[in-house]
Amino acid sequence: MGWLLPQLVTLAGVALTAALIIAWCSPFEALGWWAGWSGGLDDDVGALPRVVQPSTTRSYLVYLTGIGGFAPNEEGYSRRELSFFDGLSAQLPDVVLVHDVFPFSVSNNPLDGQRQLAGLWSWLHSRVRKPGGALLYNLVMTRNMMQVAVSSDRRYGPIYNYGVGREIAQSLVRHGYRPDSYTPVVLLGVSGGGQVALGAAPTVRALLGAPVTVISLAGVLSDDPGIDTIEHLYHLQGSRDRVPLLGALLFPGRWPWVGHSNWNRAQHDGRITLIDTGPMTHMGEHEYLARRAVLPNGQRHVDHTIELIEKIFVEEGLCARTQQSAVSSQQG
Amino acid sequence: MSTITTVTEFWGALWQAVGRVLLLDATVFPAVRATAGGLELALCILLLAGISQTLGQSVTLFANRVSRRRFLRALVLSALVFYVERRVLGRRRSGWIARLIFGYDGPLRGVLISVGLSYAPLLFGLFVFLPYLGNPLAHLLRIWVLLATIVAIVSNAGLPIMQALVCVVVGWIVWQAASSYAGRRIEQVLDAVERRLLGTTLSDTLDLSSEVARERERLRAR
Repeated sequence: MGWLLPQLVTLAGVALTAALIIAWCSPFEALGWWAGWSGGLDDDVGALPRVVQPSTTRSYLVYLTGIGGFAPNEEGYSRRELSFFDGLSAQLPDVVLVHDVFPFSVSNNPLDGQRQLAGLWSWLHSRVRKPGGALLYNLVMTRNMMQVAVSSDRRYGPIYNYGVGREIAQSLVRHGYRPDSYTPVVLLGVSGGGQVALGAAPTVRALLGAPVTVISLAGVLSDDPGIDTIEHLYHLQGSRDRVPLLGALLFPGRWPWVGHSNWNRAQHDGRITLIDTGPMTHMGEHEYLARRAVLPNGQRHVDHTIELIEKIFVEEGLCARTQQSAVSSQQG
Repeated sequence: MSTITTVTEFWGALWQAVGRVLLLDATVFPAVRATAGGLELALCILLLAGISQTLGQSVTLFANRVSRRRFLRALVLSALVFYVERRVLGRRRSGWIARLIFGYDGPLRGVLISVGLSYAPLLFGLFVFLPYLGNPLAHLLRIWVLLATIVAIVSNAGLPIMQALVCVVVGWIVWQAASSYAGRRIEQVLDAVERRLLGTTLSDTLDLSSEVARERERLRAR
């Protein structure tokens, strides 16, 4: 076994170096975009046709994927996510669901989009279900995780979050949102997408004049200043999921004894609601959107997650259903 | 006195000195002082530290939307400002204070070498660019430089640690006072150089308001 140790040390060294390089390069995409090096700021907002929504539309729900995300389209989303979208649309018929924004790019550029390493990311994505592919896919997750770090960094966050917020606002307009209509917008962020949702919220509010609510599905959240501009933050977390606790651990503004942080102020003011989703995990067979895993009461995980989100919409008046009709439909 | 004769020897000596400074090894300071070319070696470390530090803090350049060509110019300019500031104005203050308060009368060349070496931790300055870890790392590097400076003063002037600490602290206060007095004039000069080289004056704050207003209009006009 003596031969194994040097190999493992070498492997760990290579992995650490790769992570360091990815981390060091991670702010460049957002900063280069802002500086105009990639020409991203002059995107044409009218590039796609605008949809006209029915007058019964009560609110808009924007889905921001987790750090395993690859592209905001059918090929990029997992089957669980696509099934989740179907369930949400069925339960919230008067809510427009938007899921074409990639939260780990400041210019909504998917990993297989126009970027130098598109070939590498595509190859990793194509191998994810093959032997060893999941291990290699950690590179994609590391890359996206570093973008979450950029979002939460007070030096880079304002630029990054402005970029993502701008893409969300543009997507909402393409989906029929009328600026200054005060139609509520809900940002639903999964895992690292939760932090990006929180960071982008002030821009969405500023650009559209919209009241913004954030739902974090197991989000790893920092003490982001964006929390001061939102209506409410709902944080959904499973009892078997320890990953969101990283946010509470790594960001000093979330430590309970740091009195005047944005997070602690919001918590004191009752603008944060923590919701226990039951024995769900962050990833794997028992995660929040799992279709086969069931709770002790027999309900599928994905159905319970949708039910909790629906409940938030009902309580906040973000959909036409009332609490009574929701209860009677569940009983029926 | 040993002599550095080739470029390879110079780089070898440089990295060896850097390693020993990072370990806060007090013997490295007299060793470099006793080397012909030691001053150049210390000043080279100072220049590299300046470049690394500037790279680590380059977010200001991006925030000011400088072009790629001007970005490179600004990096060189900032590194030079760091170098000149530390070499000519900055850390010699500790030597003056050691003379004034504690009667130290050694050569200022020695002070300059010691202080140049003590900036070796800032060779890691480029890692301040890392998201999340960058800010705490910047604090750590400042403390590391402070400790190396104290070790350098102890080694160079033969002062006890407490007196070396006093030198550094008083030196810092003098520098802050001098900066605020002369700061406006220095800033004017640097602004003029920046305007000349970059075509703009760099701002420390990021103003998104005009961009937000422009984007709002675009979305409403659609």
